[in-house]
Amino acid sequence: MATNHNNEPRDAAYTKEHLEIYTDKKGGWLNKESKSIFAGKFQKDLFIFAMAIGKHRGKNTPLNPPKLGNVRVDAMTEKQKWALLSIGISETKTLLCLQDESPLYSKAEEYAHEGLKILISRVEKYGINYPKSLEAELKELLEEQK
Amino acid sequence: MKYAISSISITNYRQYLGTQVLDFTFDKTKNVSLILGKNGAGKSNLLNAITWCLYGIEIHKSKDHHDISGMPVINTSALKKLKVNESITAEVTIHLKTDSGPWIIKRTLEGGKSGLGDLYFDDASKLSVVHPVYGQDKIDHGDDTQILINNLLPEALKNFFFIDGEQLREFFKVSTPENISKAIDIVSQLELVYKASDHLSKVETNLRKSVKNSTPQLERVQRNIELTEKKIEELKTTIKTIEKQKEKDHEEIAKVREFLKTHNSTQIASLEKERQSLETDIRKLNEQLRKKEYQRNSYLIEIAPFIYLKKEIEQTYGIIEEKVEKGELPPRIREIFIKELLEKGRCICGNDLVGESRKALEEYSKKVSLSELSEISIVGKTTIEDIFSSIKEFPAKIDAINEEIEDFKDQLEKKERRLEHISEEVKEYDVADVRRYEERREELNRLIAKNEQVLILQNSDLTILNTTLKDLKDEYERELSKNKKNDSLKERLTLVQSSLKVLANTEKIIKTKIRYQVEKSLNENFKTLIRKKTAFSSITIDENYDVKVHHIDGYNVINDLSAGEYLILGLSFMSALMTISGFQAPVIIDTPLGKIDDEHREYITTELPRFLAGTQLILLVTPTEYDHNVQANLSKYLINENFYRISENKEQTESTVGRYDGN
Repeated sequence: MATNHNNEPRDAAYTKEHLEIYTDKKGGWLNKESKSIFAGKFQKDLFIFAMAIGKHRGKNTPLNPPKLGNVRVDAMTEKQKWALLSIGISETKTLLCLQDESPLYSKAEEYAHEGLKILISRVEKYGINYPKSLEAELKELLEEQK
Repeated sequence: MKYAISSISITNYRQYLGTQVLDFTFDKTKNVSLILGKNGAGKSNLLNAITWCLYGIEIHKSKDHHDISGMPVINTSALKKLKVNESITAEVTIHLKTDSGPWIIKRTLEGGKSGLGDLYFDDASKLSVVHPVYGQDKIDHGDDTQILINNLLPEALKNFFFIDGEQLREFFKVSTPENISKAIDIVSQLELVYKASDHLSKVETNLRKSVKNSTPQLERVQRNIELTEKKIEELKTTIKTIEKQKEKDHEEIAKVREFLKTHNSTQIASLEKERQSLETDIRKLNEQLRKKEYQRNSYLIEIAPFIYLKKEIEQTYGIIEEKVEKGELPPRIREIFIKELLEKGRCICGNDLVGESRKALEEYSKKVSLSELSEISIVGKTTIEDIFSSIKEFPAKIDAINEEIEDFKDQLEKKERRLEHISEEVKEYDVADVRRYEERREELNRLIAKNEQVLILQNSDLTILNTTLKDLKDEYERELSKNKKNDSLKERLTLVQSSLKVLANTEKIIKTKIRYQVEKSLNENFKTLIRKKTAFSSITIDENYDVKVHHIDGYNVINDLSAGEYLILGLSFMSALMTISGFQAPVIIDTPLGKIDDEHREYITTELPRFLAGTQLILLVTPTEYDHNVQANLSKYLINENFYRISENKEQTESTVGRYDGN
């Protein structure tokens, strides 16, 4: 369903240093021919994933300019948006932050920035076994949170 | 320009002693001409005669003039009869009927017996063309005459109109993306673009070398540019060589498989058939496995953020739930209504809002400040409930996917083990030839796999070198800009580089467009010609020129077609290329129906003449191909005078061709 978010930005950004990772090109993570777990996925999927890792590890840093606003927010699913918004709501402990969502997206960019660095090192470490390692990690997290 | 062959005259060419003439009458509805001959009688050499006459190339052989170690172009019986100091000529003349008038194309090759009794041959054949110019016949001789022929049909396109049936059937069995790309390249007729690019690249190099106000830095960059360009050229040559070798290896493997499959030992034939069936199953399983792994990865990417942020999402849900339970969401009275009352300073009951009553209303206003967020919060609550469901079903769902993956892997392992057993059995067979072919097959598979890896690395190196070259050229321009005296040179260099970019883009756009057109035409043609119309959903040619034939069940079956289906795929592709090329030449197919089943044979001979209606279609067929059904189907499209038969002498060293009445 179409939902009216308040002051939702048009794009989410990442830094130029991460442009290669976010670009769908031959040999790139997002390319459908690649062997990466992200093959055939979109920038917004990578962004949300990186953001979640960054928040989970409690790491965020402001983006170094130049910022590239290439992640279309209107391409995100409602579930992805609420995963992002829940970061800001849980930090401010109020729903009033939904009156202006723009700062929540800026915070998400900072978590995604650090999260992507963590993700890169994990993918380099596990290579083609990264999906197995991710699956094990997610199951363990759910067990811990029971 | 549309044209048809009205006659072919062959004199002392290959096994054809003396002069043989074939006249053709062309009719738009009866567009088929037939030349019947046994294997080895001279059908292929008739096709060779036509391409030799037009291009100096025999389509079944690679060189123009005779190979000294092979049979000469000039008929050997004629050569034997020569006296000392006597000469003889091999000649092929083609008469064409065109929109603008008749053409005569003649190619000759002279040879003779010297005074010492040795045979000699001219180094090159001679071409002459008589063609209409402003209503008058003009005669042209010499090498430049080739341009006239290329205007009728460029040499690069000849294989799409003068077709070897066996090559057509094998085209998609052994074809590599490079072959498909080459074929599409040819019909794109980008020679002009390539020539322009080559020329401009040379201009660019010369401009850089001509810089007068140079600096050591500039010279260093210039040297590095030249070095990098040289490395790129060398790498491109290496890549081309490896691709050619890969193509050869694919062709050889197809022959090895055929040898084993049709071996007279039922054991070997059966093992090979089983092997090919297993290979098909393995391909399908690999595709299913790939799809399942993609599904697993997609699911992990989707669910992981929710699990990582479960705590935050639960907190958000808690906050929303609390507001709902307190009645603040959705609020009973909207905030904006309260604000308006406070501004007016009067309640709806008419009393003024002062003192305690005003204070109470202001307090209440703070509580309902969430009213504008009511809708979004309720959406959030519902969405988060969805997320919780997704998280709850994660363990079971991922385990189910993993089970399916393991199942595919098990099946694959079993089939691959069986493949190994088959290979061992064949290698232990007590016929040396069989063992040798099996070992060669394994070796070829290893070579192909190795070359594929090498190509990946080489192409990666090429990408890196191209990036390096671009950076060096940028550096060169920056250095050049440091001296104002180089401004004019810099301007010219920029112009040349912009032009090269435009040409590169033009090439990309044209090739992409042509690829789409070929794909569209290929699909239309295939659907028209194929018998099993509902079994295949589509044919695609992707950006890497990988051709896939999609079965309705979703599998790519390009490696699993029958001989008849390969022929139809080949015909459909050639026809697509013919149409797109824009040339309206006759189509000649040598042995179109060999090695295909009766049903396909019948279907093709019913559909092909209709499919190529309006185009002169000359078929060179064996008596085996020309069975009763084929006879009946083609008779509707055949003018009796266009039916010829090749006969051989007793020793099978000479052939003649004459009209055939069917008896």
